[in-house]
Amino acid sequence: MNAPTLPAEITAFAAAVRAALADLPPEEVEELTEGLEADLAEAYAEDLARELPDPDGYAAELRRAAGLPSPERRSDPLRRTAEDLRSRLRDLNLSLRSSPAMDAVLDFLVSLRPAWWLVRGWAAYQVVGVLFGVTGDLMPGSLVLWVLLGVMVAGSVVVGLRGWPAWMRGLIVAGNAFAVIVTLSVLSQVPTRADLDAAWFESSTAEMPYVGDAGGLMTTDGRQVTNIFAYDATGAPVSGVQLFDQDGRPLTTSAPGGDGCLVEFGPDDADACKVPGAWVPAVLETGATAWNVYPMRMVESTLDDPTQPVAGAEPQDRPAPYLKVPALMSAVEDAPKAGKKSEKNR
Amino acid sequence: MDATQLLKGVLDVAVLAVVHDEDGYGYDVVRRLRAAGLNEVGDASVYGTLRRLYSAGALTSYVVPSEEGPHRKYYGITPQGRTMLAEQRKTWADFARTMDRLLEGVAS
Repeated sequence: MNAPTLPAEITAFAAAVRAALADLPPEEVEELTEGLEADLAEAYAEDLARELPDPDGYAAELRRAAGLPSPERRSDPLRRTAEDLRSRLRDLNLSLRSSPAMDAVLDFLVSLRPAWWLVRGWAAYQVVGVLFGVTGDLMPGSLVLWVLLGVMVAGSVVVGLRGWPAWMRGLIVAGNAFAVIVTLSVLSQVPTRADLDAAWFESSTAEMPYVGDAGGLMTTDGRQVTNIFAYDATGAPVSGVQLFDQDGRPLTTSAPGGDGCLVEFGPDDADACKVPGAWVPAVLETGATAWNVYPMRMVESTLDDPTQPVAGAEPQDRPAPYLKVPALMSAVEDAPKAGKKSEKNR
Repeated sequence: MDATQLLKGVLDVAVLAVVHDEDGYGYDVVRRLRAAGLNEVGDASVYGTLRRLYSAGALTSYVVPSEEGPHRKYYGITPQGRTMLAEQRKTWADFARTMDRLLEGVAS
């Protein structure tokens, strides 16, 4: 044997034989296959037409001649349990299939395997997606994530289509169990219609936009008070009214930075806002800003950042609900007297 | 009759006999068995048998380094192997005589 290097097929053949013996202790495999390449190379060199046999068959022959247990009859308790389980499943399968109806059902379930591969790929995407910071989203939200999902599904299908050695099948079974758990747990977090309704109700009634340190929410008949219009005793509108509650706390309808709607589409479409606006506080002589001065004015803002005034926009008065309201009785009674008095004085 | 079936029962004694003549490595033993007329013998069967006889203490082994190719694992016979060979040779001889007598009786 003069060749210092071995033909690639011999190296590959020897590796396949060792793989087929992989259930044996490594020292045993080493003892059995030590010199295998050299022996094969010599046989190969003597007879170039000689074809390498099937490595599995070759390994089985080695094993049998060496008096070693075949892989089916192992003493290892874990493997024995797995074997036992497998044969029980086989028996169960056979007994179930003895009924034609059950046979058809099982065939149908087997035909669904590709669907399971898709689900499994999706489950793998959910697990790997955590690395990308994606949790709870059923479907990808970006191109990168779509590609990731595609890779995972393709991988799952490949795993499903190919035949695998026993140890790999064990891993696949464990992976499948994990995929089922992931799938169920992700799906259990998907909000139901009732959850969504509850969440909407909560958010729509939450004291979010108008509440801050400056005060609480004011409502009349369940509708939020966003501005206050004051009229004096004669029924004429008053501006610059500062309001406080019984404890001297400012009465505010809008938290600092609150926003609202500057221009609505129309009275029928009160929920839709054409131009958003930011409330503008008044400035006190101390230099402080006050959010309890009414009627509060509003400045145009954008939908992207409704609390931020558009550059250069001027604060606008909000339209008053009434130009004038009925005067107070006391004011009506006083007015003529004052008039008579002035006439007398004239 | 399939000679490979017969071979299974006598491979141990055949391998012991070959190694008894002269130490040999795996393929060398295969070649000598074939040269002796056992054409059906399979490589893997011989290597497995060598390994089993070694485990049973009938053979020793040693590695011979080679500068040209992979190292060779040589097998030699032990005193225990010699005893085993002697016993099996006798068993075979008795068996072969019995069979010969039986088959000659059929022929005559």
